[in-house]
Order: sequence, then structure tokens, then C-alpha cells
Amino acid sequence: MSVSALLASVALVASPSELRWGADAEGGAPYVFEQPPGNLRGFEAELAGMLAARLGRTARHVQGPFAQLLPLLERGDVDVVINGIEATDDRGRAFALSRPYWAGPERLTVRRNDPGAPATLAALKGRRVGTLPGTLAERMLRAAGADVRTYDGGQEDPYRDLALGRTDAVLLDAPIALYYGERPELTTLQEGFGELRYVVVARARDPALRDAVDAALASLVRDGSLPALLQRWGLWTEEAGRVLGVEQAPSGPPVELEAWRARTSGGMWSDGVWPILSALGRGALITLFLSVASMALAMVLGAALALARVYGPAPLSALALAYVELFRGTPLLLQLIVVYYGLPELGLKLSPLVAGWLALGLNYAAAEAENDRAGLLAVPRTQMDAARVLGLGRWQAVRHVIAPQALRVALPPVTNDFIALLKDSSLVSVVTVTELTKTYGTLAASTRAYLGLGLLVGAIYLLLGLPFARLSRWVETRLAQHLEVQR
Amino acid sequence: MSALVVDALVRRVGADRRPVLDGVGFRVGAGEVAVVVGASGSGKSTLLRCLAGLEMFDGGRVSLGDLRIEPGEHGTLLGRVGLVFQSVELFPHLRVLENCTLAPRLRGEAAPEREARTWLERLGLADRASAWPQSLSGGERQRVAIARALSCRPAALLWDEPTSALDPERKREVAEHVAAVRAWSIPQVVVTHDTELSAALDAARYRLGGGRLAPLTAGTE
Repeated sequence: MSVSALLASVALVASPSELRWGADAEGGAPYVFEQPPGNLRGFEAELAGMLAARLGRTARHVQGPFAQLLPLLERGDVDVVINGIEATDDRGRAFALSRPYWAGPERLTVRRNDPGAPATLAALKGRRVGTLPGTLAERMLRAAGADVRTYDGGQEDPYRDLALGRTDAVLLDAPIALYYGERPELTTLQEGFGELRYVVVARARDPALRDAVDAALASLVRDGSLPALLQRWGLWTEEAGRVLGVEQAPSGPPVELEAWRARTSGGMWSDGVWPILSALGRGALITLFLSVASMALAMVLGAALALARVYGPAPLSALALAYVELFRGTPLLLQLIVVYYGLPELGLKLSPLVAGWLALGLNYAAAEAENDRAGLLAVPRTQMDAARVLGLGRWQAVRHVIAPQALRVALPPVTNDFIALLKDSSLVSVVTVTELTKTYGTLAASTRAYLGLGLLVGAIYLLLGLPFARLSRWVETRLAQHLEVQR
Repeated sequence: MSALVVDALVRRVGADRRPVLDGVGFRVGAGEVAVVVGASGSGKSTLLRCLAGLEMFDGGRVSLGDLRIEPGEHGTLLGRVGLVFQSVELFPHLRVLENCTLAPRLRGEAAPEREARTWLERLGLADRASAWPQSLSGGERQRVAIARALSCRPAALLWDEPTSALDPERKREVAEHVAAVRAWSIPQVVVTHDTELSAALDAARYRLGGGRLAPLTAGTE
């Protein structure tokens, strides 16, 4: 996601001249992926551009995790989802589905040197078979009685595990098998299973847009640009010809597929050093910004909660306790999803960055409140008495006598929490913020350099946390100077 | 300066409303000292906390000069009565001088530093003004606590077991400090079970027991 797109997503501007289309670019070839980083590619990226042009709009990609694309659509963050979404009866009832833009079979991939490799659906019964969750393939595997392993992390992972011998087979959409199943140790069976159709998904209450998309698709078929697009990506199938109503297979070499095959063997820096580093730098900046802002919120709110708990009147104290229990006792991921996808039901629609900031800050405020409370309780009660007898008001005593002493106790865990928050900030990728870990996932999926990039990104996290650890040690020393003196 | 008059003071605690103080009354004039002795648990600390304004009382009255404090108004005493705590309670994060100037400064007094330095000097702590409390000896800490209390110009000064935390050779100095403060013409109340201290003070003596205060005549200690 570019910086301007990020800013646009902060502002949540829905310009009618745009076609905001949702897709997950992580591990998304040949559908939607970044190559080099920051440059969106894929047959669906091209399709979105063509559709938008026919509709007289400009296409704008909105990044979202695959499993969250349809909720994003419901939420109104995108106008359509174009990301290998299969037409099913359920979806047809809940959404407005376009006519198919692609059709083809599921394909079975096995290990080349496996003498007991399954070759039919029936042979999958009881075998360990990898696929992606919520797909037609998963339903077919469950029906066949296979021991199904689903992968949330992208299209690369099932094939990786198969090559490593953790599973016996992978059943997935033909395009995925074509782009990710091609490994020296794997082979994909010629025979396909079933038939799936990819459609553009619009909101059910937006049938006019769906009709416009249908018309645009029809014109793209008529003038041959859609068949040519599929052919360039190596995705032309008999089924596609049938559902698109095209008898003559398009001609020309599958140049995009060949380019993909040529470059996936290139390794980590195959896109060049600069695009990789600048993508990681952008991700790191977002991670850092989000973490610092969230920690600031957490510290302010946490201090207020701790004061309310220790010195507030009973109802306020009980409220503060309830807050801490609620936010400490429920998963951060749940809070994040509720803030982003749940609050709009109450009319509060937050941009991704604000939602991530709020969820992280609210969650960590509970931890900070407990730190601060421990600090406040570590100061003897008689210190309060001494201050009051001297004529200090209650809040003056807290501010000038209790809080400075409490801080020394509360500060060391704060550093720890900040480092934890820095890492937890990776969760905000579920609300479409492309921070450091998400950037890693996208880069690793397109370069297949999981190990090298992983080490690099790990080093970046360490570097991000280091200055704050140093800062905190310095502040601790300052706060403890009165204890260092010898008698 | 003016007297501290305690009149039929009652303080009840707990669910059974047991009276810890059950009609305590005494008078300490300006420049005078009252010593209160009593077994632990007899309510000595409660009495001091009530007089300092830290704890409410249920009946009776405390008068400080023209000020009359009825039950429920104990907060009025805060900032007007000095208290030297048994545990001293210096503020460990503030230097000696800052300990003394914090309250006057927050009260917006004109020259809190000069006032505090004067008191530190009188108590022999002039060279300790910028020291941290942790670096001081027990006796020095107590003198800082006295300087801190007096820097707020209290209308009365209370002492809670002032000798309990001190070395034997330092205990004698407490009586000297109490005697020195008499020069400022404020009433002082010293709660102690240290008979040596009690004997060393020129004071009216009382024993607290059963919630009541009884004058202690010479030889009955």
C-alpha cells in the first residue's frame, strides 16, 4: 500500500469516481500480488483496472486479509471484492454476485517420489491433505473424508508443507496449483476435480453496481480482452471458455506465467535491494508510529485508571476494575475486530489506523493500569498522611509525593510492555494496515525468501525496540538517583 | 500564639462502634507541652491523628486559637497542625530542602526557601540542604522532619513516639528539640511510652487508658 493510499484509507474517503476493490495481496499470485514491492500485479489487478475503466472510474486497491474481505465489503470499505471468490449459493443469497470471469477445476498436487500418492478423490479418505480454508476444495475434501489441514498464511504454505512431507497431497484451485505447486519435488495431476467459478462480489443492496460490472465483463469478453488476459497469465481453461461463451481459445504465449517462473528462482533480492528495503522501511515506520501512539494512549489512560482505582470513590474504582478485567481478560485480536468491524454497527466507523491505534491503546491501558497501581501501592500510606498533614490536597499529594515515587516502580514493566506492544502491533494487519509483519508476509510470498527476509525483519523489530530500552534504562537511573547515595 | 483545647473528644471505630476515645479533654497553652503516655492500643495514635486532621472524630470539639472544629470538620486541621511521625516520613524522592519547601511552595508562600533554610540552620542541618534523605542518619532525618513541619508555620506541633526509632545517645536530643520549639510559642503534644523522655520534659503529663485521659501526678508513672 502506498503512503497516499494509506492516508486515503485514514481519511476513509469514498469518492464515487473510484472503484475500491478489496483483495489480499499476500501470497496472492496469480490473483493479486506485489512485484516488485509496492507495485500491484496479478490478473485480477489488471481485471480490476479494466472493469473500472469500463465503468468510467479509477481502480483503487484496498488491502485486507482474505478471510476479512467480505466483512470489509459489508462494512463499506470497498465497493467490490475481486479475489478468486467462488460463486456459491450461500454467497448468492448474501451478496450480489457478477457473472463468472474465470472457471476451472480444483487440482491435486502430490510428492513426485511418493509411491503411495493419492490420485483420486476417493483415495484421499483418511489422508492428510492441505488446502485453504473456506474454499470449494475444503468442502470437497471434507466430503471425501480426508484429514484436512487448512492454512491461513497464504498460498505458498500448503505446498511447502507437502514438499516437507507434513501432508500427503494438496487440493486447490487450478491457478494456485499452477503458480505455487510447481516445485521440483512436487507434481500436479492432469485430471481436475469439480468446477469453480470466480465472480466479482458486490453488496446485496448494491445490485446496480453488480449489473454494471456484468455489462463491463460482457464487453471485455466481446472485445477479447478478458480471454487474452487469462491467456497471458496461463489461466485459459475449457471451463473458462464455456462460461465466458468463447469458442476459440485465445492465442499467444503465457508471458506472465513464464515471467513468474523465471523470477521465483531468483531469491530474496530478485526484485532489487531498494524496493525491498523501502517496503520494509515503510512497514517499520507504520509499526513504530502505531506503537508509540498506542503506548502514549495506554500510559495516559492507564494512569487515570490506576488513580481511579486506588484513590477514586467506590463507583469509579469499580468501573476502573471492570475496565481492566474486560480488556485484560479478552484477546487483543477480538478487541481489534470488534472495534473495526463491530463499532460500525453502532454508527462509529473508524479508519484502519485509528481503529488499530485505539484497540492497541485500550488493551495496553489495562496492563499499564496494573503497573501503575502496583507502583501506587508500593508507596507507604503514611507518605500520603505526611503530605496531607503538611496541607497538601489529596491530588497535590498524589501528584507531588505519591506519583513520583510510584513511577520508579511502574516504569521498568512499561518498557517491557512497549516491546510487547511493538510486536502485538502486527495484529492490526487484520484491519488492512500494512505494517512490518504484513509487509514481510507479502514480500516473502512473492520472493519465497521466508528465512532471509524473516531474519531481516526480526532484526528490524529488535532495532525498533532497542532505543526505547535504552531510554527507559536512562530514566530509571534518573528516578533512582536518590537511592544510589551512600550514608 | 494560642492554645490547643480538646473537649470531650469521642472517636468510635469498627462495626460495633467501639469508642477508642471516650470523652478525652485537655488543654495545652501556647509554648506549653503535654505528654501523653499509655499502653499500645490505648488510642494514643488515634488521638494524634484526630488532632492532626487525618482522622475524623464522632463527638466533642477541638479548638485551636479562634478555630473551633466540630465533628466532621477535622479536615480543617490539615496544614495547620504539624506532626512529627514515628516513622519520620520524609519524601525520599526530594532533597532535604525540597522536603521543607514543597508544602509552602504549593501554598504559594512568598519565600519558602529562605524560611526553610532558616529552620534547617537552627536544627544544625545547613550543610544538608541538598542531601537525599537516604544519606542522612536517623537523628538527622528526624531533625529534617521537624524543620519540614515548622517551615509550614503550624499552630501546634504533635510528636508521635519521637524516640522510638533513635539510638540511645540520640534520644536525649529529642527533649532538647521539644524544649527549643517552646520558644515559638505554640502548643506541643508528645505521645510516647518512653519514661526517660517524659521525665526530661517540662510538661503536663497524662495517661490515656480505657478511652479516657487522666492527669499523671509525679511518682505514679
